[in-house]
Amino acid sequence: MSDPLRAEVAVIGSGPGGAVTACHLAEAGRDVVLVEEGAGADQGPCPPFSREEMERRYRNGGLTVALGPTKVNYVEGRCVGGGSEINSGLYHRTPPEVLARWQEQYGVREMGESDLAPHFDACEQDLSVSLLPGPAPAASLKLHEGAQRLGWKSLEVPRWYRLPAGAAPDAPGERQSMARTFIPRALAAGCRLRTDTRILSLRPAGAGWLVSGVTAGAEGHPVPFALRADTVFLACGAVQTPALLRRSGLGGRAAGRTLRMHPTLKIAARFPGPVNGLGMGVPVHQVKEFAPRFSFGCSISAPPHLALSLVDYPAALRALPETWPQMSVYYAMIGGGEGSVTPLPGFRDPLVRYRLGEGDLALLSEACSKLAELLFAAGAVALYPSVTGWPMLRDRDDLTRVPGTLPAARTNLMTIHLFSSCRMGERSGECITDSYGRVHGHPHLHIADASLLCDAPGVNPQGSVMAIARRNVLRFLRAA
Amino acid sequence: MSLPCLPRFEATVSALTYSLLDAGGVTDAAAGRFIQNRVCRYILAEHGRLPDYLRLPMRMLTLLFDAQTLPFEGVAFHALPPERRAPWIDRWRTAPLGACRDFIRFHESLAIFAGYDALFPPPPPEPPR
Repeated sequence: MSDPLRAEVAVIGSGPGGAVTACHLAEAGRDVVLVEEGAGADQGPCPPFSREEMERRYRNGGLTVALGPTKVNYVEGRCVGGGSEINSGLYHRTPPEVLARWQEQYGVREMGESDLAPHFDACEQDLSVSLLPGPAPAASLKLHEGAQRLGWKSLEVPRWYRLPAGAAPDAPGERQSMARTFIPRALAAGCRLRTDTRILSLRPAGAGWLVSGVTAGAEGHPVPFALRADTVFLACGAVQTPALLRRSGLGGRAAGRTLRMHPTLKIAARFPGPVNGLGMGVPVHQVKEFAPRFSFGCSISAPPHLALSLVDYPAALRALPETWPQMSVYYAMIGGGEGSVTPLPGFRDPLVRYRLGEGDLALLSEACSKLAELLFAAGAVALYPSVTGWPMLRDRDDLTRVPGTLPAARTNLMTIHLFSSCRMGERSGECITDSYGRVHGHPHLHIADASLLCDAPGVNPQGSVMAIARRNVLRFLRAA
Repeated sequence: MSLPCLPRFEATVSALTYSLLDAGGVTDAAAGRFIQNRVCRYILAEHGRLPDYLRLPMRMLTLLFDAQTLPFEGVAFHALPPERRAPWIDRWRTAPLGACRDFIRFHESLAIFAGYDALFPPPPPEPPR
């Protein structure tokens, strides 16, 4: 093998945490290599939320699952920009009560609302976080309408989208993903980007680290890859970061054993009139009346996604080619359960397990009933919860048939929000890093992704990930 | 030449996909088999993208699914005429064993999603970066 590539700092993973970190390091004059397992944007664009996007930009083609009594399908981005390329682009700051909990329970320092505010402000400016300039999609407005009729708190969530100059207010905006924002800035500042490169292990080498893996050689054949760096930032996401740490014998016993997510139950709804159309924008309303216990939102509702949510309802599925303009998909999201990430000897992909308790399944049942109540208030005439073997719900009287606890083996859950697998904080044994993302016992090894979040934030986590990554990397630069 | 009594992975995925698309109402008279073959290719590719520790179990489950009809029909599932496949799919869809139910749901979800993606092509992508 040829001599390893050398860099002052290696950032592994180009999602929101890694992109922000690499950008600030490069702009501060550091010699940075940003390593990404997936492909770059040079493969060309692909339609958002499509089968093609799943094949090209999702890990395992979207077939990732957390095993357990109730399986949770989850998705991760695997491309330059990571999750920011495939998510809906909805933005929240971390709720203040969540930050207070992290400080109290995990001893995280300088993590109050005012500590993070400048970092949120900067990220919001960098990503053009804003409300829609025009009206929200009809399906999104239905959620808002139902909430208003019941007197429940509903809000339009801002997004990192920007309209091209001169575009109409209802024109599709440009997603301000990492590949459009922080990564070009990092590259302009001298950062080197290595795509199609999978890191398999880290080991101490002198005062720094030797990062080893495989990269795409000629004609795509894998060839060994090695990088020697003084400092390493891991930003591979809540599944891959603990897997890499554990494969490398780092992070201690707690690494990967505190995985959290937002388990999400979907309900397809049919209305008497049109609420959907080809090219309908991303729904932006969320209902926070019952937060932090659970919250509601509207999902991508293109015909393939609607069809997927009707797999348990054959008659409705067969009618979908005619009924889809009247249908949309909604979700109820909780923050319960706990899981683990375990590397399996001899296999590339780590085993992800998740367990929801009776209380979590009862909470999901309550959330399902409340969301159904809201959708009926919005005028829905049929609801199809994603629970195998359940009947369609036709009106509020049918809600009495919803059991107090959802059946563990027949409830079909999904999520795109995973975190907390390598908590930050000062509680030894529970926290993998210190309050600023530095791995305990390894002064030149840092984590900069959703793994750091101490528990479920109850909101879309990308804003939290970016603000915390910015806070931590600026502190690293000041300290150095 | 392959024997109809021997379980075959690709042929099973193909036969299962055709049946699931038909049951899900995913037919397009204009495009006909074009959609179904495209969906089959996609599902076979997705088998190859599964987390690696699940690939062999899923392949074995597929062959087991194919072989279930042998004692009763004399041929493997993939060699059954389309009109006789549905009861065997339903048997696994409602099986007490979760792995059987998950096997059908896995293929059904992929078939329905890809089928509708073909029937309702997504809007064009964002401009090149």
